[in-house]
Amino acid sequence: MITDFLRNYLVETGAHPLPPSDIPEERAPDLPTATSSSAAREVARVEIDPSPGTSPLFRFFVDGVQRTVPVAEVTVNEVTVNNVRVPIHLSHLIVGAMERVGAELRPFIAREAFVLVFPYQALQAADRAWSARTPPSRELSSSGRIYEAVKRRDLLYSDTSITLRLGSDGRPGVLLRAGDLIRTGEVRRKALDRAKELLRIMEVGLVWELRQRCPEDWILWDGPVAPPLKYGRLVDPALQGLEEIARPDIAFDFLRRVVGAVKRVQIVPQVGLEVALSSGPCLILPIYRFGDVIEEDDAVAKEILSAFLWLRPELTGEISALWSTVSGLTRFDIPIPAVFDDPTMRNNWDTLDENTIEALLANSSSTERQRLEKLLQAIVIERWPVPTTTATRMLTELFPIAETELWLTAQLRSVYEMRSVL
Amino acid sequence: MTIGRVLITQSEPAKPYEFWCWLQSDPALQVEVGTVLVAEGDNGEKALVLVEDMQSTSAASDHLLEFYGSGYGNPNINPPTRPALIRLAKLRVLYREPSTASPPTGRWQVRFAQAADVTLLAQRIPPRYRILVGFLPVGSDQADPASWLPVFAHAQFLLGPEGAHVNITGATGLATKSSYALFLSYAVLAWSAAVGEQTAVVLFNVKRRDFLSLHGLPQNWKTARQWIQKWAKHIGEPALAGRVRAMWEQARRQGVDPIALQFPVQYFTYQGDPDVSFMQNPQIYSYGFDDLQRGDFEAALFTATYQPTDPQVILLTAYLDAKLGRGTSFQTMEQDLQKVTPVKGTNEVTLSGVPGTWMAGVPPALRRRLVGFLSHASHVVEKNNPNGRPFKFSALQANGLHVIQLYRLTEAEKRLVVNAVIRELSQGLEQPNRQINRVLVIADELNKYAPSGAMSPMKEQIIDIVARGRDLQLTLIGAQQFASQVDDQVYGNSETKVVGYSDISEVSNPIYKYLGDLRDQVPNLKKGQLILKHPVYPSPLIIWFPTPLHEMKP
Repeated sequence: MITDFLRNYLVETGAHPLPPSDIPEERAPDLPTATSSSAAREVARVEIDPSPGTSPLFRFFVDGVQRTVPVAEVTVNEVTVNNVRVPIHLSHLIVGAMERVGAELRPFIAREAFVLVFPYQALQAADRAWSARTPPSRELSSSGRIYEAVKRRDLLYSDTSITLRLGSDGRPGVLLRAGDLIRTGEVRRKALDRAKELLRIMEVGLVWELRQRCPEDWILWDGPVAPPLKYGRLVDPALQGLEEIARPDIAFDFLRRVVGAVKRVQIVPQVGLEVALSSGPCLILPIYRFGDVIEEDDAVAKEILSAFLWLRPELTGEISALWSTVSGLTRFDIPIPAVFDDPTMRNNWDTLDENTIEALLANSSSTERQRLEKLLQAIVIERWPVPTTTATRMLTELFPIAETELWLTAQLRSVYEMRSVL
Repeated sequence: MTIGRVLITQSEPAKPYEFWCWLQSDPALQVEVGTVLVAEGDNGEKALVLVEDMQSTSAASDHLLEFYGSGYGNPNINPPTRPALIRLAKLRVLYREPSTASPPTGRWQVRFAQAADVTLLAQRIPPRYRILVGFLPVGSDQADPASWLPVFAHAQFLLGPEGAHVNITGATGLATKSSYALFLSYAVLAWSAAVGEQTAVVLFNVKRRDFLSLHGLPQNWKTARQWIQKWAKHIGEPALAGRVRAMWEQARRQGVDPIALQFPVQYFTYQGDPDVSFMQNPQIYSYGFDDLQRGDFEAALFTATYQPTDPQVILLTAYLDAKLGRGTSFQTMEQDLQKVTPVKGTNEVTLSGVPGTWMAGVPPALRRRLVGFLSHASHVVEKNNPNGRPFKFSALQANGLHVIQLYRLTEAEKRLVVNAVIRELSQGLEQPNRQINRVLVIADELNKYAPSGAMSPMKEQIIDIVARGRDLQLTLIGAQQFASQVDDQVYGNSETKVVGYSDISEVSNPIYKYLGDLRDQVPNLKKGQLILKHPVYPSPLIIWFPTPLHEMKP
């Protein structure tokens, strides 16, 4: 029998059976975890008691949610394109911060935006009639000041036929031309991408607003820290230079009290991750410094230290569908200014070389090492309670972040409400 | 101050008369089952609602997450963030403005009810027909009379002719049924005096001294307040004093002032009652053969467990037709049934002075019932004399309380007296030029007189009274420990139903279905707390009433 043959073979190899599960590999929830590796240098390794008994550090928890819905379509009948139906999307974007007061979370700030997303310039190119159809709202474009527009609760639209970021020529790039409108899939994908970009911009704006109001309070931000930084100029002129740390002083002020919590870790170091996944009385957190790497939903950067943590090893084996050890892996993005928080380094912290960083973090009596340990302890105490979300998130998401997301998601307009705009 | 919002979800859809709301996360928020709230829409819609049920929930899907979330089952973990606790309240609509049978159209704001809101309830009842039946708590200071909003019943539904009768259910020993019946009596008499009615209340005292000492009220409210203070301290609940005092103060404001109104109290008891010293100027009652009517004899002699045969009923009827009103005594009857004359050549007999012949076995059988009854009825029956001193309709005083002592009588005696009194009252109310035009009868242990199941002469009379009472202006306030043991017709015909603390096994009976989710609250009702179902209100209410003043006498 084939089955017997396979069983015998696997037994001979010393293989162990996996927990029972009815989920095929195609739908495994932890499949996107640890899919990409990159060269990185381990700059520190910290052991933390699973129950550190320290006081909470983070005051604010930041997240963003969005819902994008096709609400209408227009038919273009012109020379270049004929009888092409082009979807128009409406995005509802909300970013917010919850504040921890005592042991309770309370809403602190929320900013929302309704943005009409469609390829306006491409439509103009395809149909001359569109030149006269100026949207009755403010455009969120490469000209920036996007967060200000959101705060003013203006009517907003964004043109997906051009980029938000400026190219090397100082102009926005072209994303969709008149001839591209026939590819409805691409038009829709661009709308979704634009909504995601705008959400990141709003998150940066919100963190900046928190920074202005409470400069010394710590923020735990959902997701990797590196990707949103590139939108600094678009958020507010005051953040011009945040992208690629062109202005280290601005980046220093922005990052020195921010940590990113990455629940879906795609990028892992090429070697050494087994340390974080080892069992023992203490949690071991290896800290890596990557180069700039960008994956679909993840990114690391050289200005950000990456602390890997097996967040809730106690739950391993409790969720049969998540049998893989890496499914419980989380990463905490700790900007270098969060550890090297020295005002004298405000203008040159980005020039710290790896040897210096490693040396300072290896020295148990250094301020930087102590600050790092305190920060990691503050992260570890957030392991409990466990949020009620998906199985994967039970292993990797922090409760306050999940609550913030729940709070924001509850405010999203339903698909039906959004579609009823027309 | 807004304290929550109406919930409209797939799992908690809003219905016209019931919907859920969530409450703001504030441990100091004093909302409990029975609290009256107001839900208000943006366009002036308003619903006065009663909290019928409550739940605390959280985002945790089940116990596993709770266990995992506490450091994988470590009860000593103190997570830096406490999961949000969400309090939900199920709301039952009491009043809706504008009047409509449609659910809320949005996430209406929810707040505590205020006096002006609760008076909306009374708007359904014209002022002339308002009878105080209890209070709703609307403030946080229970010692403040303003925290107790009056709840009124509609006189035409409580007393007739639109509806009639009240049924009170509750466990024995908590002094709730009798105390509430007395409070209701005061309220009806106060209303009666105010509107110029001539009402009398007749209270059967069936156990202990529930209705004795009604004359022993404090001289004035200053003394009353002292009594209340001492009583609360005596029973070990000093905090109760403020609540009882506040409710009585509010009752006075509504015109229910037993001290000022000085309702006359008369006691009627039997010879040999050891509790006679607790009554003021008691009148001794007794019944001779000629004081009774056929229904009284049947109620006394026959029960549901001892059903008479048709020949026995025919013989009794013939005998009463022949002898009633002619100076016959019970002793004579006993002798007559013994002295039979055989009809020659047959198995039949005749009785002296009674037309007809009877199978030989019938008179001895009826005599045995009579002897059995008389042997258990020595306290209330004049055996040798044709007449005793029966309770008379003419003895009723307008707006007075009339206590008829039944405690310690045998079941047969109670049946005789209750039947005879109710018969006398119903006949009295049919007379022209009567001094009383409305009677309230308070009868505890109703299940003994009108039990569910087999018919009995006594039960037939109760059913008849209940059916005709609204026209006669005879209102029965029946009480019992278990409504499930009371005849369906009697219970069903009581338009106003009141339920006090009862065991869960009793309220799981389908007859309590009208309580909705409040049924679950019955085993948790406190002393002085009742659930009231009155036809004027679309939903049952959890009401409070104060302890009777005479019960608090030091």
